[in-house]
Amino acid sequence: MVDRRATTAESKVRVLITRLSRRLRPPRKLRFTREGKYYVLITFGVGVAAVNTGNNLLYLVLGMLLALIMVSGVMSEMSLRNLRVARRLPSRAQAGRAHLVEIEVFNQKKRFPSYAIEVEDLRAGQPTDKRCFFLKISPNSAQVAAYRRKPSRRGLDRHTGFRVATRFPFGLFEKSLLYDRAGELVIYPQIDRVRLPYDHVVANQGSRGPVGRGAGDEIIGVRPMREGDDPRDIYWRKSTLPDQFALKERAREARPEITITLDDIRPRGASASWNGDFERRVREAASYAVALLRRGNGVKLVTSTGHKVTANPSVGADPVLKFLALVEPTDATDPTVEPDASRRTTLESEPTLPHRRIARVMT
Amino acid sequence: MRFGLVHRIMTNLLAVLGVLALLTSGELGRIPSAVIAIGLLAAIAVPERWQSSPRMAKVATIAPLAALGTALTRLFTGAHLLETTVEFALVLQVIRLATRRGAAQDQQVVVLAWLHLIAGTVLGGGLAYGLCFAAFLVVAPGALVLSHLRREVEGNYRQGARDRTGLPVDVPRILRSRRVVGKTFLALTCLLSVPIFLFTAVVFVTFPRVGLSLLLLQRQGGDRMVGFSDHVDLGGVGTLRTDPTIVLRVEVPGLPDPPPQRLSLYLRGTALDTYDGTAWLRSSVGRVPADRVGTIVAVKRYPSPALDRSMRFDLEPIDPPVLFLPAGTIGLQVRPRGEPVFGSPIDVLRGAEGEYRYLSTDQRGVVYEAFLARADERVADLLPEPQRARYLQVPKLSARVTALAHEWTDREPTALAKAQSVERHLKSEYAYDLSSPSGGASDPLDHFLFVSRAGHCEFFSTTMAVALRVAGVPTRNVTGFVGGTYNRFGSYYSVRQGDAHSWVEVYIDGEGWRRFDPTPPSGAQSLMPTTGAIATLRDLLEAMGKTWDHRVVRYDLQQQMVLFGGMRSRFRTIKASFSTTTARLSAGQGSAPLGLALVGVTGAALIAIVIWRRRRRENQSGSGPNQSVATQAMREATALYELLQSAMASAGVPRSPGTPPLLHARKLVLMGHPAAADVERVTTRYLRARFGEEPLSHEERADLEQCIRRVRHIPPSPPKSTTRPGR
Repeated sequence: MVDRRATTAESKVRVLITRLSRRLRPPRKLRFTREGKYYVLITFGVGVAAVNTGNNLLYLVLGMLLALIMVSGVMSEMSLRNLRVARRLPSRAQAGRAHLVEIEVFNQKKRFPSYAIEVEDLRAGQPTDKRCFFLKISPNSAQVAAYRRKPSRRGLDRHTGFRVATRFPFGLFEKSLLYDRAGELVIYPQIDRVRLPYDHVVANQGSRGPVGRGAGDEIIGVRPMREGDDPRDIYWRKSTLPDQFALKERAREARPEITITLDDIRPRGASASWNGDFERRVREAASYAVALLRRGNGVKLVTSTGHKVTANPSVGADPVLKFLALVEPTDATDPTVEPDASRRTTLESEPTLPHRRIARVMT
Repeated sequence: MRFGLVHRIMTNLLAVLGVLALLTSGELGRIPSAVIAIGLLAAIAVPERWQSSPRMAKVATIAPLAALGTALTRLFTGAHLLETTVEFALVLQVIRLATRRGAAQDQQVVVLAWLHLIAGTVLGGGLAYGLCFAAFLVVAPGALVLSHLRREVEGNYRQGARDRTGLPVDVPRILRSRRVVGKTFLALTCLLSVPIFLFTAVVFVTFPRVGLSLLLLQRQGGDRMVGFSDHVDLGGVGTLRTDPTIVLRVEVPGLPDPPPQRLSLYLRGTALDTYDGTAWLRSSVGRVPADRVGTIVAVKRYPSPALDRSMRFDLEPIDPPVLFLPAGTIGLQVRPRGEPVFGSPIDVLRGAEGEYRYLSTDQRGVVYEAFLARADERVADLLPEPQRARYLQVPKLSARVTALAHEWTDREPTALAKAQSVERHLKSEYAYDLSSPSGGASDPLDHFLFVSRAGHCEFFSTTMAVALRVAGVPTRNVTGFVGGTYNRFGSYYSVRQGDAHSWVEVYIDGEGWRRFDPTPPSGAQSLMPTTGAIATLRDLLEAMGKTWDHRVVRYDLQQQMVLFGGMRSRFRTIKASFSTTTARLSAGQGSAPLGLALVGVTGAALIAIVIWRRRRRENQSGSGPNQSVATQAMREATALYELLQSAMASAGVPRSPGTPPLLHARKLVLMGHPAAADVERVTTRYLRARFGEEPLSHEERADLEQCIRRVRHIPPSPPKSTTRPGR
């Protein structure tokens, strides 16, 4: 009971400190640019010369130099104020492959445009090097720019917010403020070109023929288009009646489902290189999954910890890739478990067919 | 207007103003100034396509080095450091203008322009500098903003910034764009000069003037000095009658309305007692410090600044540093133009013949006040008998000159009558001629009196002084300035080089030295025009120059204290009147109803303005079709739904492009998906905001974001917690 009270009091204090530090944190950050440093140095020199010589014209120049600093502060504030920043992430992103992130800045001011706005996309735990520059954002309108990013590893890419900065109007100071805008992007594992094992089933039995409707290449019929159908399947030659489209019905692919097994249990006493091996296995599993789906196979991914995810050509590789993007190794609970290379990543044909190992991918 | 073009024009303007601030100082000489001005124009006219050529790049590298080498060579051969440095800075500007190729070079042009403006404070300082400064104040904000924007454009877009399509931005297209800089932009940046000016003025006025004088940056040369001749040489050539250079400005008290255009002031500079046949000299050249207490100098007695009338003089730097005094001066108060607290005060020296000079390290001239004797006050200098012979000395004169002197004076009984007779003869029988040949004769006086019968003021004054000496009346020749032209804009009299004059002082027994001017009136007047457009313009510029000089260049601690004292007393007055009014109002006396009505009306007007603005704002954001609000609501809703889509994809239930949002949500409900409720809620609200233009409140937005987060955290395929036993 006592401990609980102490914990509550401690958390209250912590909240209080957090609030206080938030209050005390200045809303704007100001930084001298290189030109600004020189400018301040010159201003200081002119001031010293004015006081020293009593030359009134130097006082005049000093006043002008100081006035420009003041105006710079006001105008940069006007430029930075009332902006709304949004991020548009792509629906898919893959490690080792560049993608575009769109940044939209909306100027909510009614009269004044914002000039020379620089938006830095902040990500948790990673250096901030990606910026978008907006020369002019007219009042009550938005500008969109994009930056190209090439993630190096799979996983969840957490965007924490933006740092919006401007050096407007004279480039003497950089004023910036932070926006908290969280965003997440799942980075799929890198996909490599792989050579798939020979498909004995298709070779021996031929195609098993269309067994139902699906998203295969073969067309099995034409029917009126219904809500939710893919417009790309419209059969234009038959769509001559107004407000009624004819749709090509496709046959389901009849290739077997392949099971990919991924060992995600980290044995006790595994060396440091185990993690690197695990990443390689994930990458290979993703590559095989994509290749198999392209060939028309269904894919079932099974991990050593029991997680399963399936995908087929009609839904695409997203479920498998997303799973592989987020999968993390689990520490083994049984101390007797030893690293077994034979169980790391394997491809197996679907259980309905004669169960046999097609290839051992990772050794 | 194209961004690149406007930027170029503004940068050029700034560069020209910086160069003008230096050239108008007149310190560089005519030929260097002309060369730099021509070079500047040529550099501005260089087309941009030439500037990007490789040859120009070579010029940009070699030319500054060559200029540096030339400057160093000149320094080693004895050229003045400041002038050489300034010339080098100007040449650098010309080279940079001609060879600039981008934003970085343009910024260098701007920096050089600033340095020129700062250097102009040391070299220049006149009205021309003031005008350049004012123009700089107007142009600088715009030029600096454009320069910075161009730097940003080149810095960001050339480093691979991309537009929304992911393609690199085309910098030349931005520079050609007419959308970046418009008339409003230019007007606003130029209007920035108003707050800049106000702030500059506040800093200028309030910054304490405590000149430490540790390092004097003023030029020590005497090139700017006004010339004054403290001797009279009849054989000399040259005349100042048409020289419009202002020597001093005089504020004369008690002028009639309207003030006369010209006023004969007879400002006495120096007097000469010895004539050698061709020139007047001083027999005694010794000077002693004048009697003074602080800045007050006693000429006849110590003046009382509160009681004695005074004339205020503003004397340009002059060589020799003579103080010009009107007749009847009893005392002086002398101050330097820029008065540092810890600087040395001005020393005043008294020489022979009532001459006063000043000694100061400050090269900016002096201001002084000459206190005048009261109407009933006698301030005559008596001539001691031993010194009388000095003023009667004459050189060997021709017989006919002596005869003429006797002819004009012998019949007159008194010294005064003799003087008046000679003056009358000279004024009526001789002509004023600036190009008289008598100056070149071996006996100039004889030639003037009997051959040419025409000459300038020095011939007339010399003739009178010599003739009276022949008649036994002590005389001396005086040089100074005869009068000034009234400046209607500045309410002062301008005394110019052309007003230089020579006259005679005659010693009248019992009365003292008395001034006589034998020069015909037409000759004593300045040849400068006093009416017409040119004279008006000249007066205007001179008044502006004087105001600039007085209020800015010579603004000092004393003026500052007077200003602050005035402000403090005004504040006290306002405070006192306010408390009086408050007391009256509280007592219900006097104009209480009027005051209350005034307060009431003002308050009502303020309230009305506030209500009107609030209603206007409400109308703008009200039920009427407001495009911006609707657009904003749609935008927010779309952004939210995009987030939901991303979350649905994470949860393994992505919406295919062909499925409408609502249908997708209902499908999830039918499937019994755990995210269905949240998805349907967000989708419904999205559709209402997107197509029904119902704006989202903050609470709603937060609530929907919470829903999206819940959807995101649903695993893609429910993991079965089947850990294999035995592993």
